[in-house]
Amino acid sequence: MIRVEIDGIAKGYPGAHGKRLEVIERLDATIQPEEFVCLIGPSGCGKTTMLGLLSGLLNPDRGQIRFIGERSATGPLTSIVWQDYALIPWRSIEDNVAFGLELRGVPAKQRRQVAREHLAMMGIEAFAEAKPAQLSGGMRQRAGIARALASDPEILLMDEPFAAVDAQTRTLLQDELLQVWSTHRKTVLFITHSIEEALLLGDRILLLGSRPTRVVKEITVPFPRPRTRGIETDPVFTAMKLQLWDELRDATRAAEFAEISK
Amino acid sequence: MSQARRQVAPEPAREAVEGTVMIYQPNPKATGEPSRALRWLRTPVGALVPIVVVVLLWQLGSAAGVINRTFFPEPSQCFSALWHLIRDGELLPNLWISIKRIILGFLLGVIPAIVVGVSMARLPWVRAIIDPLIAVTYPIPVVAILPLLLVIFGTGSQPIIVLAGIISFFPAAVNTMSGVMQADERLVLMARNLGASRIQIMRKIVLPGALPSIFAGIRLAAGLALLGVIAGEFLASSDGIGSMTWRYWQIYQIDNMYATLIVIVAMGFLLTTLTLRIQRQFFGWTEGQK
Repeated sequence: MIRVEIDGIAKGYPGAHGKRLEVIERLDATIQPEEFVCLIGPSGCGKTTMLGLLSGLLNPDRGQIRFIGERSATGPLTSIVWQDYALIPWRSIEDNVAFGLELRGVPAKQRRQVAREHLAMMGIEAFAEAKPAQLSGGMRQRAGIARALASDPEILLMDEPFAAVDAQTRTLLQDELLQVWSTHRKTVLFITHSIEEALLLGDRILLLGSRPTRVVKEITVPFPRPRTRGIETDPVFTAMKLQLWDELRDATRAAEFAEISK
Repeated sequence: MSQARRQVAPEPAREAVEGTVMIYQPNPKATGEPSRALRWLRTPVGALVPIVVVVLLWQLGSAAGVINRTFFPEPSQCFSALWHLIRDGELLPNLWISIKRIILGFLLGVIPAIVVGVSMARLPWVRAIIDPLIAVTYPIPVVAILPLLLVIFGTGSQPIIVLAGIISFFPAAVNTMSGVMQADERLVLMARNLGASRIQIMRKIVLPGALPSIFAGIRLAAGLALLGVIAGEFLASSDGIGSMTWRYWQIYQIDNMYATLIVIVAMGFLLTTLTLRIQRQFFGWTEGQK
């Protein structure tokens, strides 16, 4: 059970004209074990940078991210579900799902079994032998989720995982994720553009402002679990959606003007 | 599917409503599919037809004296000369000599090329040092250094093999480097996130991803090795298929010269089809990608 403490993180990149582009200014947050936290904010606010920092692929300029507690999973600390799937094109879906296990030397027979279980869990065992290019975006992302879970991380990082699929498929994938998460509890950090998605999936929502980013607002989502899409008709859902949009609108507008002046 | 089986019940006659300005309806003639004859022409057997037609026209033309037989003797005569060269035991030993040179020259060029290409892509220092060297040597028409090779290696097979090696080195090295450098950065990040070591990233992501590009370089190299050996044999060899072509030109036995050209063309054709076949077999996954 790992708790994540994000403490005063700052991150910038070298920008145009020798100026430094500060993306994240001073960000504090805590993620509890088995909590589903959604990160929402305008484009360019550093959501993906946050993901890079949490996965260790990027180093912060200032501050610390602390992972506290006892390891309970067998795999890496974090594993990412990528917006563009990042499946290996020359491998079958099964070999893609087993990739994390292969990297740490799990015997072929065992990793095959684990991969098959996760393919079945995502309902794509029929496509085990297919190559990614043969599948639709939704199927590929199911494989992406299966791969991330099969590697058995402490924390699942999801980077706008459903942004590239069509609206109907997105609805299906959200329902499936709710289903899977209710049986395979993991700590999840879920990055999204969509207020509805955040309300539907998250225990807590962290609203980020425009660049340089900090947490503008933190909202606890009151709906009990297990959740279904039915909560979308709840008046509380509608009220929260409007309230969140009020917050997000100003940040989005500020972000858009920042794009122009850049 | 046969036409008969596609038959459906006849539709009831439709009457045009008065005032109709335009009707769009099924047009059996415009199926959008290529006709049967066109489809057949695209099969491997059908593709032989244009070739056979050209050879036949040539045959008839030069038999009738429309085409100058001094330069273009009838194909039948060329093939008969080919048969004589095989039967007299002259052609096959020379062909074998050339094939050995092509294979050795190809390996001599391609193996170092892959090593150099991968190192250049992965090691900035190696690239910084070798890049200018390649930039300066690449544009040299390699045949121009044949005299130098003759000075260094004397006569015989060695200078020809080295020539083929040098020619085939460049495309293989350049393609290997660009293939390795164009490794999909997202996949590298994905693998790092799942805990891959540098060696694992190289072996499981970068090299397999570069294979199609490396193989494209190898295909070019194979063609150039053939070119290098033939050119070398023209100028600096008393044996090999290329030297036969050159000699029959010099003693003006045009039909024998054509016979050797037929063999060279066949070698090139085999090389191309074989490597294409391998490419389709192993790198089919590159088709249908963005």
